[in-house]
Amino acid sequence: MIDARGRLGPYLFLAPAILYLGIWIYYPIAKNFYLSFLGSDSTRTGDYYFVGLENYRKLLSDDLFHRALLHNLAWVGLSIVIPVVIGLVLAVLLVGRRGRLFYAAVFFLPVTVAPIMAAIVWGWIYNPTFGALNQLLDIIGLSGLSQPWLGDTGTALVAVNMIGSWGYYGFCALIFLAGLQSIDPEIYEAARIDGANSFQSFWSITLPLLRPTLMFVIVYTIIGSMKFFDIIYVATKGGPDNSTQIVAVYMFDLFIRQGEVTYAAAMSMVLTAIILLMSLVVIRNVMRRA
Amino acid sequence: MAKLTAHALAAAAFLAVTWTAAASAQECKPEDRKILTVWDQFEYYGMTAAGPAVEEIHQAFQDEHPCVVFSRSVFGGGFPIRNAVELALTSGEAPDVFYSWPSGAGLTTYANAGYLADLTPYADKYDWWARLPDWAIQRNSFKGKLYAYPWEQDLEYVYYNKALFKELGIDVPQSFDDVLAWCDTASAAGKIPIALGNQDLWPAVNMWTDVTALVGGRQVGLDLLQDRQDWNSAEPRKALDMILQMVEHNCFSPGFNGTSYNDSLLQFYSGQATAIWTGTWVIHAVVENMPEDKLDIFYMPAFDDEHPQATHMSEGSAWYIWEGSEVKDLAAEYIEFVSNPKWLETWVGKGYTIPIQKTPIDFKAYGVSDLIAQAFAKGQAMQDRNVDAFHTTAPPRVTFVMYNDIQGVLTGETSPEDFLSKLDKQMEEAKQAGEVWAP
Repeated sequence: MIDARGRLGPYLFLAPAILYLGIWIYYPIAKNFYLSFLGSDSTRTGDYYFVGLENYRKLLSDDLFHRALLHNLAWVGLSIVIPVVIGLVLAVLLVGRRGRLFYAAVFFLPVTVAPIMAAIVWGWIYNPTFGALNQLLDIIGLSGLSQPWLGDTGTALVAVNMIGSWGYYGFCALIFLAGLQSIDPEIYEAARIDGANSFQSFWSITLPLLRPTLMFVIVYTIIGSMKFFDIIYVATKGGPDNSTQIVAVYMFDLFIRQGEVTYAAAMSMVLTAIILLMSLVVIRNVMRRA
Repeated sequence: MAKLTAHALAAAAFLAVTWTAAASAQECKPEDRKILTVWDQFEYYGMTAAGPAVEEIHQAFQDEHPCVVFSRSVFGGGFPIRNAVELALTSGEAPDVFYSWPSGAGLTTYANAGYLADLTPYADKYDWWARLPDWAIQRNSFKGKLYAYPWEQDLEYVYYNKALFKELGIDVPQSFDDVLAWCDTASAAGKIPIALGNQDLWPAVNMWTDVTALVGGRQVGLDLLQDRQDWNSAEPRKALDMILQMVEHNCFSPGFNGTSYNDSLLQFYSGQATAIWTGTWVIHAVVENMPEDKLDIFYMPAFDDEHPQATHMSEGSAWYIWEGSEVKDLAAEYIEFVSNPKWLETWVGKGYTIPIQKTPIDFKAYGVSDLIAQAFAKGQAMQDRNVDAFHTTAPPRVTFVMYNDIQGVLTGETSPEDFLSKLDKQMEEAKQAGEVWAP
């Protein structure tokens, strides 16, 4: 009896979490997967029938989906290059210094701002007629660089990514700071005695030892970037001319407005698969090097 | 002693509640006890700021129906109510009555899927036919049956700053050339001629609808929306070309695709812009934010010699009854109650909401300003020429392309031909999916 209880014990403790995940995560994913193989002749009638891979085939010829996916990949790249790198640099500059917690808190502040509010306020900053950014450019004599930042197809994606980056670099800095603080200072001391300069210490000690933290941040960034939605939905709604259209925003319109439930389901399955694949590649690569 | 008193008070409270409940139960026969669920969008601020007026009407309905438990939820106007209704209907658990949009193709897909109750018998019973103009009945019908009671009147025109017009020597335009001249004069003076915030996607589509009405007339609009005429055809193309000419003449806010609708209103209120081309749905806010001595309105003039002045029109939203409702008769009674002409004064005078009516509303009787009266009276007088709003009448998959791709047309990144051809392709798909407006 005791043995049985001992074997069952861990599962009983896990049961609430498994039940919760089952109801709110795994069942919807399974249902969504099932829906992705269905289709109907009329929108919203609910008269679904099995269409096999038809929805997935349609994705292959959907130019807007391809474009949206490319925007997601660009978003991943920008989100790794800008906030992750800035966060890493800030963490390296702060580690071991007095007052680092104060600065970490300051950098972390934008993370506490609701993304929708950030999008609205940054929308004003970017406003072509009264926005602070263009006014600043005027003041410093660079009025030639003034742009309708969110209204130009050439600048909109980067401009809207800056909103996301502003709200994310503090998070990266805090995580990196925690990772850096776990590195034994004696290793740096030994390297310095051996004649290593700051760059060599960073390259040969900090980066390798920070690899697990880096892996976490990169995977987290990839997942967040691929399923990104709120800031773009508020700031540009995918425009102008679809230049900030990303998969989640496109999917939302298909599902909610156009009633294309099964096609949107297929799209979300492909997006999930891409996120999993990208995350696995990064994890495997980093693990191998570690 | 204190414990005894507490027990006595608790017992008295219990008896009082029981007695009240019993009394209520005696007053209401079991068959009269009903729950009516209503979702609307009448808030206290914003575009549908008729909250106080609606509460007064609801209270009167409640007073007349003491046995009805009235459950009302207020959603944000625009997309929040529409998204909520979409999810509710498709999940099979919707409110008895909902006040939402769009009609036309949007109504067609819901009616075709069996989500909407047929209101034709109620229209017969309450003689809604006598109240509603034909165009509004058409927009809310599917295969000859009425599926929604159209409510707020939407019309689009130009709000302008008459003080700025006077200062810059601009007259209200009488032709398309006058419009271009106005743009030249205002932009040369460092002002935005027409505030446009097309980040919200629909304002430019509305403008395009207006110009199509001006160069094509009502029948062209009906033919386009009911798939009897290709989008890639003369009138929609001519309308786009005219708007592109306006872009060339710097008629609109710089970076209009990156400016929100609300910010374009601010450009107008602050005097940065001489005018804004929008509609009745925002009249409450405009009147509140602009001094009376500066504000006036006009409808865009005839743009060519062949077609008279016109604009676009629609209902802002309409009352629907869910097919799955168990209290359809009560729901229809509710719609009849709130839409009854006896409440016109409350809707118009207190709610800034102008219902669609066959007979012209006597605005002066309700203390409405001349400006508001003029806006509605003139637009309603043109109803035989006005075009149905493209973006609230076309199938959603067509609207999606209109919204997103017209941004590229206006900046020259998408050619009008490509845009219009893409609309035709979407229309073909919509037809196959049974989504085209079929009154």
